[in-house]
Amino acid sequence: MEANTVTALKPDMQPDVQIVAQIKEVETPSLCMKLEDLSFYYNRSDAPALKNITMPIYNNRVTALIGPSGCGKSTLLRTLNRIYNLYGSQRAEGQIFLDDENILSAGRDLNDLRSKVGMVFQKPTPFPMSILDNLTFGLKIRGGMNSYQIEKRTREALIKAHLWNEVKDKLHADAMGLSGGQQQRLCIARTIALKPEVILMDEPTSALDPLATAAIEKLITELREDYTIVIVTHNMQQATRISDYTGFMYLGDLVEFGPTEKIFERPENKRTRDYIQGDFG
Amino acid sequence: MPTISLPKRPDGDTLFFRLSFSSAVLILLVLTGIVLSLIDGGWMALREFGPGFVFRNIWDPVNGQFGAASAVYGTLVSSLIAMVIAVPLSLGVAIFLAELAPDWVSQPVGMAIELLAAVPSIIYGMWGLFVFAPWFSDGFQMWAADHLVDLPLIGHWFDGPPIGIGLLTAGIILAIMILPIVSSLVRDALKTVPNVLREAAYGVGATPFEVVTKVLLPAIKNAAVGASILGLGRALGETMAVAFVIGGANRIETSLFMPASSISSTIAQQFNEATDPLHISSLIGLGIVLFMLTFVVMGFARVLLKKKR
Repeated sequence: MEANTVTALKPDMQPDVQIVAQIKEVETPSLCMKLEDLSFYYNRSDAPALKNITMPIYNNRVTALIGPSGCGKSTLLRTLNRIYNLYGSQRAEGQIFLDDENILSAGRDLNDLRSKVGMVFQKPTPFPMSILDNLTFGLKIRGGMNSYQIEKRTREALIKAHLWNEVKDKLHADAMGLSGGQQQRLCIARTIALKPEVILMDEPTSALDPLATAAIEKLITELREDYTIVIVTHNMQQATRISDYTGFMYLGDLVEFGPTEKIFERPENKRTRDYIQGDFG
Repeated sequence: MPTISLPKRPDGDTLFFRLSFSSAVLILLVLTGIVLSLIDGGWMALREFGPGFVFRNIWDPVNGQFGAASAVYGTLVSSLIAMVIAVPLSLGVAIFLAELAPDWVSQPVGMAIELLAAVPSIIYGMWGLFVFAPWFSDGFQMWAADHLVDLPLIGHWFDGPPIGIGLLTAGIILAIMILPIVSSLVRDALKTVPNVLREAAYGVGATPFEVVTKVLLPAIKNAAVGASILGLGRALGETMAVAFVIGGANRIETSLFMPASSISSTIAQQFNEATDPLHISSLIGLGIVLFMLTFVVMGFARVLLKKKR
């Protein structure tokens, strides 16, 4: 059953994905982020939502996090840009290294961190302003670019997110007027306009129809050229289609982590096998 | 009016329908009754002075000459002062409570603000007259007489006797009164903004100030405007608090320190002593003017709130 699922998927894989897979075996990936002994608490008194997780995140690779609802995948993602810091009671312990620097250290400049680690959410989150302003918002905040550079950067981001042709004639229109799939690509464009090192995606296609989902998945495989991507997904086919590495999480533990093919074809842990075969979750 | 065809019902349902229907009709009857009796009561003044009643700048009970202009002026200016003071303050309060304050601060402060909204207006009026006005006279008006009167353009606003009461005092008391309503409505609107939008904005490296001013306030713009207009509606009609501190003079003065009167304070202060039928009729005429003024403002607020979807 399990083997069938995997082989049945293989013909669907796009050619460029297969090429990437072949290159990947030759090339040794370098480390982008490293989680060491990471635990997370929503409240001081609560049980940990993440338990002593140690995990690598490789440069220019797509790392997928899978697992049943409430297992901590999104929580893990939210520690990587410290967005949880908006909420006073939430607390992370352990270490997360980005460029050999522990981002959990107290003095870390969070605005700088978040411009290096961008995030795309489950539901599209366009800001209540024009399409163009959505893209330039972060760039203007960061500063240090003249208007020509900003314009060039926003155009590149829109082209890369495959949105340029649809919006080039209405850049000053309200972003709320775009369709769901367009809004999500706008949010991705907004993130890549900042040229982060890492892009976090929290179930970016779960609110979208199949066509929009396919467009975003294609986009993710292309973005791997320039960015490191960590994606949370409920859709295991999606994980096999787009990711290089997969982590299976269960009840706050990272049960198994490895190359996606290995996790899906030869999982070592029984829980992983059960989940992939659909026995629970 | 579309006609509603109802299927034949069992008796209990019919009774229930008729009971609730007549309750609804009662409201319409009461509203119509109020409007009709206002027009009836004010008819003598309207016939005497014509529609120009609204713009006549005279209020002379002794010689039987009446016009609404000074009261309309007092109402509009005191409400405008209240808005200028209360709206920015309310935004500040709401932003602090919804976005910046930790729970242990925002909950008691939020509760205090709701209590402030429940204080009867006569308390504000008494406090304004006995506590605020003397302090305002010593603390601000004396100082203004030395420092602000010579300013170009706005200097004459502060050219007047330091008696503590007057248009500006009325405006300030009104501002204190509408602050709780506006700020709690704006705070509630901010709380309806989904967290994920905040996270997205912080996620591109924005500071709290940028998140609030560039993302959150635009997102609740219509609700905030609607809240301000609801506050304005309250300021326009407020009677007791204003009657205490506005001074009761039916004149149009450019100085904000001079005593003046608003529509509602004029009615409240003069109804007891009005014996001349034309005087009474003119007071009711003032009531019609206030009714229409408030009606227009509230209708405007409703349109804005509806636009929010």
